[in-house]
Amino acid sequence: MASSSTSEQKKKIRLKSADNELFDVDEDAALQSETIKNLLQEISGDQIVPLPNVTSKILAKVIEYCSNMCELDPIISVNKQWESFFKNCDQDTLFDTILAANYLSIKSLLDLTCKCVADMMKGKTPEEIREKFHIVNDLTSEEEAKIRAEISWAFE
Amino acid sequence: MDVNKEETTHDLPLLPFDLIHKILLWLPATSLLRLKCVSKSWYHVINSPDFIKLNLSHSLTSNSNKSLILYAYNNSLYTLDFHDLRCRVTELPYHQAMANFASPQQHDFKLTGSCNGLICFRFRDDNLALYNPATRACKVLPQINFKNRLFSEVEFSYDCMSDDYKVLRFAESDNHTFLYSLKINAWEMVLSPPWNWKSVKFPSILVNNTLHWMDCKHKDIKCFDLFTRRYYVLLLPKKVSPTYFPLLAVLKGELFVVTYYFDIWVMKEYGVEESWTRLFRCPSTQWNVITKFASGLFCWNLGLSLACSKDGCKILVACLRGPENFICCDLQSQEASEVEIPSLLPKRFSAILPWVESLVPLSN
Repeated sequence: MASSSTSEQKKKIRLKSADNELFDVDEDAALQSETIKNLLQEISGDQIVPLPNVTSKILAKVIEYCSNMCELDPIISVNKQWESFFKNCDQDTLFDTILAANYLSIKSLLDLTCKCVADMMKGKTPEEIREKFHIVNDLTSEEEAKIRAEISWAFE
Repeated sequence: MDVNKEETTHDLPLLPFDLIHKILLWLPATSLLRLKCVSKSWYHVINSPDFIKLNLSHSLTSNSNKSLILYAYNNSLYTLDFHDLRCRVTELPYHQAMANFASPQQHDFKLTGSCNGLICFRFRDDNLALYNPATRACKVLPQINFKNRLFSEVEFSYDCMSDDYKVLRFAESDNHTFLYSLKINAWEMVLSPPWNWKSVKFPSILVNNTLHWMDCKHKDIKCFDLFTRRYYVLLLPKKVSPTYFPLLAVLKGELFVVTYYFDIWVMKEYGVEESWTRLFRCPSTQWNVITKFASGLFCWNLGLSLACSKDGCKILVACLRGPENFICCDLQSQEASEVEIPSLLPKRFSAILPWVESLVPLSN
């Protein structure tokens, strides 16, 4: 496989998190984000890219992910490692990463994190889901009973 | 209105609804059913036709829910999920809807097709019904108004161009061809092909909105485009001689050919005969692994079904002869191995078909 860029100095992009921390990131890693790509077209080359919606803790993880995806390892094994990370991390980190991936528009990371949340939801009852996602049940008890009766076997 | 009693009413939802929508797309149908009673918005999303279609295409492309459905002679249904060398088998409960058509004593009940989470079965002589095992919706099809005998073969498929489920049947004597549309809920006679239906192998394989049958002499592939209703012929890979007894299969929406010697070919670009690519060639040192399987498969003239491991590196080949007949082909090491599925061992199957769970409805 060709590795022409190893000897050259890689171009860096400077990102600023919501809590004003600065990150210097390889350009090819940063460009995995459609949002950053678009922002770079609007500002001049050496300026800092502000990311007011992403905290430094989450941004560090996102950058690590994007850098991994640029490495020559097979994407499948990189994805597996990250899948196991997101399955074992706390819920806040997972949800914040989904929000960051959505805001930064990094499709592969958004897919991966959405899939991890979906896996987490699989065996859960509606009550557990409401609690986890802070969702208000706006169905009346009659409506809920009717839905449950239509699909009673799903609760067996 | 029954406003929530919990203290959580003050908390904002942790994720905006468009992200919840994205997450729900990854879930299998049975989980989604249960989540209908989380809230009004969840109920409406999970019921909406657009969501159901997106969820299905997501399941089909991500291959996360990709598996096989098996119908055993004792009238039980199983699904089989293929993970690397391990297979997870789940018995589907014997549903009331199916019990209405077939009691375990009846032997004329047959699973004839599986498409997008719907199955088609034949029961009591020559009646047909469609069934969604996830939602348990069932629909009996009208009879064909035709005096002469029909072939027992029933081809059930989805026409994505007209977004309609279709069934094809054939008259034994005069080559008449009948097409059922779920949208119209009626049969119509369509133009018959330039070949005789007796000269092709059933069942057909659906790829690119077209049904494909292997010619009985293994010379070429006969095709019927569900939307244009045009008949045409595709050529087999040049290196596949009719004496290799090639069979057709589908995996991830691509047309596959599997030969007696366990060469696995895929048509990478649909309709382009130069794009046939060999993915697997069973080394001759391993023919002992496949001989029993292959002889059964080809002697008995049965179809085969393929499933794919999550990483896409292994292909499971399944045929009807029995549970000992699962072969795993590793595309990287180019090795074939028998797959034992202990929970299926005493059973015999009358159908093994591709399977994906979905919420596809049977009524408009």
